[in-house]
This record gives sequence, C-alpha cells and structure tokens, in this order.
Amino acid sequence: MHTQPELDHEMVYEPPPTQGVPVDPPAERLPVFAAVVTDQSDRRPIIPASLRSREQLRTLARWLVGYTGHTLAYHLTRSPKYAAKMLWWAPVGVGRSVSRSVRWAFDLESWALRQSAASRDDAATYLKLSQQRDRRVGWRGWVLAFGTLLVAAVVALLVWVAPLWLQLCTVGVCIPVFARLGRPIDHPILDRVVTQAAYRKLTAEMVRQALMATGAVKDLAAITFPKEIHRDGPGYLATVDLPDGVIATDIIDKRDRLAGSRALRLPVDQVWPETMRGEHPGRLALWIADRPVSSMRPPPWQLFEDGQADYFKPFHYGHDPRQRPVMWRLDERNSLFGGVPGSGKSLAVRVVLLAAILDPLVVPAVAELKGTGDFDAVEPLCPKGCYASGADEGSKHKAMAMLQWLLDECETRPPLIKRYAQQGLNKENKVNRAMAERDTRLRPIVAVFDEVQELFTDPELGKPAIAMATSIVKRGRALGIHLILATQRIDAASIPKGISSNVVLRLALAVTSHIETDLILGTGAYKNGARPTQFEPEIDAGWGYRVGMGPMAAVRAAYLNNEDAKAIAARAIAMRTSGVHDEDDAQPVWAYNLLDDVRQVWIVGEPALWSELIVPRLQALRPDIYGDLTVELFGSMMAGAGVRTVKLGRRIDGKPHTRAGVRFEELEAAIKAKQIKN
Amino acid sequence: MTLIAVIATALIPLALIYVIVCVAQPYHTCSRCSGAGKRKALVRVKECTRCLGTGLRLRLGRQVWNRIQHTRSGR
Repeated sequence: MHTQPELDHEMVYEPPPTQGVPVDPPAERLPVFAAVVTDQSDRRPIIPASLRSREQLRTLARWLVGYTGHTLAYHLTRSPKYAAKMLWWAPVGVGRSVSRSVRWAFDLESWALRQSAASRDDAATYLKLSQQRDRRVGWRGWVLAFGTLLVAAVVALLVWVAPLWLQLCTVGVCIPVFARLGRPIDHPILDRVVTQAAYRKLTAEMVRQALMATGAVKDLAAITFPKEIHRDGPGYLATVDLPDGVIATDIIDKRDRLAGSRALRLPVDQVWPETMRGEHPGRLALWIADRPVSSMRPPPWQLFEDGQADYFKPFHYGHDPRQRPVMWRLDERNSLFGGVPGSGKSLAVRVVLLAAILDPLVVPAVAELKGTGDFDAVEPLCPKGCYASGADEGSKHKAMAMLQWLLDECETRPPLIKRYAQQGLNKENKVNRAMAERDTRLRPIVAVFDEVQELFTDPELGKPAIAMATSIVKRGRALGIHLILATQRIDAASIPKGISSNVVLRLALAVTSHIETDLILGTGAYKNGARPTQFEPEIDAGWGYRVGMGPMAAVRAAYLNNEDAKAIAARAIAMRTSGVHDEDDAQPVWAYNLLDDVRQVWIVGEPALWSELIVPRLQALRPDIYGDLTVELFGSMMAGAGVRTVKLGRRIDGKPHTRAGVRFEELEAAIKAKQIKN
Repeated sequence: MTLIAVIATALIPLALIYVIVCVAQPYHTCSRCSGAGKRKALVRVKECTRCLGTGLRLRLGRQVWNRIQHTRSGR
C-alpha cells in the first residue's frame, strides 16, 4: 500500500501543459490621430472635374447649347400636334376638376367607408363616420358655393368686359393646365426628345437568387456584397463575396444556369461572371449587360482617325464585354491566334498589324497562306520580298525565305544591341525605342504568318519551318522581332509545343472544344474559365479569350473593313515618307545597312581593304551610328552580315604588315545575296 | 286588372326610392328607444337591447341585401 505511485515501465511522466501565446493576434488598434488627419484620400473634389478646366467647360457649354437647341426645334415642329392634343384633353380636364371639387365638398371619399360599416352592420362606426362627414360638409359646402360664384363672376367678366389680350392670355394658360389635368397618365402631351435605353435594375435579391440557381451556393445568407451594385458601362456590376468552399470559377462554369435562373432570365450573352484581378478567388464580378453584348455597337478603334502607335507601348486592340478598351503589346513577346474558319482570325490579326504599322519605325512582313488578300493594304509597306499572299508553293517558299531572313536578323542584331546597350541606350540588352531610332538595322519587325498550319504541316518545308519559327520565337523577342502566328487548325502538328510554350500573347477565337482551348491558351485555361467554345463563328467574329496580358478575359477586336485598312495603311505610308516621326531619318527603311555603307566608303579600285581603314571612313560617314566602332566589333558585325574578314598582307615602306580586312568581291557577293533574298 | 296595373306602376318608383334610401341612408333611428340608445326599465335606465345603445337600426332592405351579399361571398 503506497499512496504515491512510483514510475515503472508502464507509467510515463507527463509534463503539465504549457500555456503559449494566443493564436489570435490581439485586436487591431484604432487608427492613431496622425493617420486620421493626414489621410485625405477619400475626399472628393469641391468643384467637379468637368468645371475645372477651360476645355471641359467649353465642351459642357457646347453640349448644353446643342441639347437645348435640339429640344426647342423638336418641340416647335410638333407644336400643331400638341395644340390639337391639348384642345382634345382640356374639356376632360375641366370635367375632372369639377368632379374633384364636388367630391371634396361632399366628402365623398369617406362614402366607401360608410357603406362598408353599414354592410358589416357596425352602427357605432357608421355614426362616427357620418358625424365626421357632417362636420366637413358644413364648411366645405360654403367654400364650394362661394368658389363657384367667384369663378362664374370671373368668367363673366372675361367674356363681356376684359380686353382681347387678357382673354387670349387666360385661354393660353388655362388650356394647357386643364389638358394636363385631363390627359390620361400614359398619354403625355409632349413627345419624348431623347430615347433612353430601357434596362432592368439589378438588385441584390436577383443576384442572390441567380447564384442559388447555379446549385453551387447552398446558403442564401452567406452571399455578401462588398460593394454596392452600380452601373458599369452599358450594364450593372455586382461584386459578390461567395460563401466558403465556392470560388468564382465555380460560378463562371455555370454561366448558363446563372443566365437561365428565374431571377435573371436573360440570354447567356448578357450575363458575364468574371474573376477579379488582385482579389481573393471567392470574389466574383457579375456584370449584367442591358442588351446582348453581340448586338451592341462596338466603340470605335482609338487609332482609326489619327494617332501614332508605339511598338514598345500598349495600344488599343478592341474592347471587352463591358465595352472597356483592351490593349495589345508587341515588345518582348509574340502572338498566337487560333480559331475555326470564320471566327474572325484574320480581322483580329489585321488590327494588330495595322496598329503596328502606325509606328513609323515598324517594318511589317506578311505571309498569308490562304490567298484571300486580307493583308493587301499593308503590302506597300513591306520591304521587298516580305509580302506573300497565296495558297500555292511559291508563297510557301516566300514564307520560308522570310523565316530565313528573320533568323538572319536574329544573328545580326545581338552585337548591335550589345554595343548600344554599352553606350547607355538601354539598361538591358534589348532593343528599345532609342536604339531603333538610332539605327535602322534595329527597326522592330512585325511578321505575320496567317494560316501558318499550311507551312508547318507541309511534308517538305514543315520541319525546317518549325525549327526556324521556334528559334525566332525564342530569340527574336528581345531583338525587336514580333512574330504573329495565326492558324485555323488547332492540333499539336499545327502549333508545335516549342512554339506554343514560348508565345506569350495567345488569343483563342471561336473553337469547337476544350481541347483546342487548352492547346491555344495553355493547359488549364478551360478549367480557369476560358469559354471560347461559346462564340459562334461569323456572328461572334472577332470575339476571343486572351491570355498573356492582364487577367484572362473575353475581348473583341475592333472592326476594320478593307477600306479602313487601306486608309490606315495610307496614313502609315504618309508617316514614313513625310518623316512625321524622325525628320533626320528620311531615307527608306532598308536604304542603308552596314554592307551598303562599307560599299559607299570603299576606295574605288581597291580589291581589298583593311578594317582599320574602313572603320574611320564609316565613322566619318555616320558619326551617330558608327561613332565608337572598333575594328573587332566591325569584324563581328561583318561576319553577322555574311562577309568574312580575312588577313591581308601589305607592304608599307618595305616592311610587311598583316591586318584583318575585307575583300571587295566578297562584299559584292553578300550585297547581291541580300538583294536576292529580299 | 286595372287595379293591379295601377298598384304596379306606383310600386316601381317607390321601390326605387327605397333602394336609394337603403344605400344613402342605411340606418334609421331605433323605434324602440327613438334614437336615445337607452330606455326606462322598471327601476332604472337601461341600454336599449334592440339597437345596442347606438340608437340606430339598419333598414330592413339593407339587412336583406347584406344577408344576400354575405351568403353569396360564402361568409
């Protein structure tokens, strides 16, 4: 018998639990005084922005004058109709005012109450009501009697005594007043001047019911709204916080159920659930359009009338369902367009290309292997040999030559870029605007290969074409070469993995299934809510889902027909010839390059020249470009351009000297080869 | 024959007037208490039992009409 247990093998000492700090952090402190007094972010301006600038004020005034003028003219032309209507309704108005006065005077509004009391045989209530009636009628009857007498006297005076102008004035005032009283409530006398779009107001209750109808949300009360529902573009935007366990993509998947729910009952085209960028995945942006988006008039292209694009900056491409502008970028990326025939591929590609040529520095190149001539407008801008249109073998070979040229550019550009970067034109070894302006050889190239599957699946040309394209996609990005590939056949053969995985900007226009969607946009795109399968070819031409710039979103290319394309191309040509952009560089794009310059400074009659003799001459020719050219750099640049530098022996004052140099015949051959290629 | 016709022609306007009165003035003063609402019983003054102290009685025509209405609406 022992009271204190001893530890044996079956007993283990258990230390007492230790108390740590609480898991929940202490409650947040209230903002301190300094934070409150310095924060002015939520103060709204006292004078609205539209009244602050002179320009805005002028615009506002112009609008006001125009609007008033239009309203006046509109009503003036309809004044006879208004007069007839008023004459028709004015007697009714007189009758109504008389009956209203009588009802008031004899307290007929309590008639129904008294009858009801009598029907219930409620004598006490009836008694009270009839006493009240007696009290009222007592004085109201007198008012009516005297009022009638007064009106009769005024009418008599007007008829027999008053001058004509007073009579006319009275009629002029009385008829509209009585017409207003007499007209039925749904027959306004004045016609409507502006037609406003009718739309149904979106309420929180509707959103909740619609979300419940998807089946993904079980608890109605768990749906909360972090922001109020408000107008956004031509529709309503509801920002919704979904309950636990439900994320925005769950709802996006059930867009059709959302649209078909009893609360909404709208075409799918009007219901746009989206994820929100920079928010938690459970937050859903639900945009309900006033009308089906495909029937809305798209906003015009920003660059349509005038304006320049910049290869190195985003430019306007089209719009999203909410009619907000969507941008496109060219620098340091490539583009891929995929969609079934009729999905508006060529139209979408053309928008990008037309924007690109509106940068006077950009050199376009087009290989369109369908032969419909969608890009004919751009042909005058393409350098020689850089335009091909047709489904024949010749066009394919031209496209191959273009790929070869682009690959050559990938070779010649890096040393130049390196040199300019060393000069401090860019902090990275990439082409930027300063470099492209400095040196024509670094002009950005935008190369379009439409219906590229024709080339890639060609039994002979396919393999080398894919190899070259892959290489260009990988290397050309930083060298100012933007490749645009468009295809209607979407499979692994038409979009090889090496290309698709290196293209950043991808647009899936109307496609048939989730397989194509994932092939174009990358695996998982369909799961993340991309639904290009919902677009119908021809009807939804130009609509597509895009990844690579901002969140994945449905976008529609601006619509530009052939005439528009021609007008824009004409502007682009004018920009280049008149030198809007760089006046110091009026020469055509390809007019000078290294080989031509060497040829120009060549000492006539010499079969070969030392590099160290050529370099100072080049520097004298174009000090801004060749300013700090060294013999070594010259050698590597010449090698890039296809001319070897060889050891040349010379005797100077009887002593032999050997230096690196260039042979004239090799230079000539390289220039000729380049001309043939172009 | 003529007597019946004379009575009928006299009754129709009378009936019309009675209908109007039933709508516009559905109550008449209680005949038991002559509108006072109370009556002198043997010892003390009591509330009139017929008009329940209101001094008003629904006209017979209105009573019939109400009954018909209630029957029709199923109450």
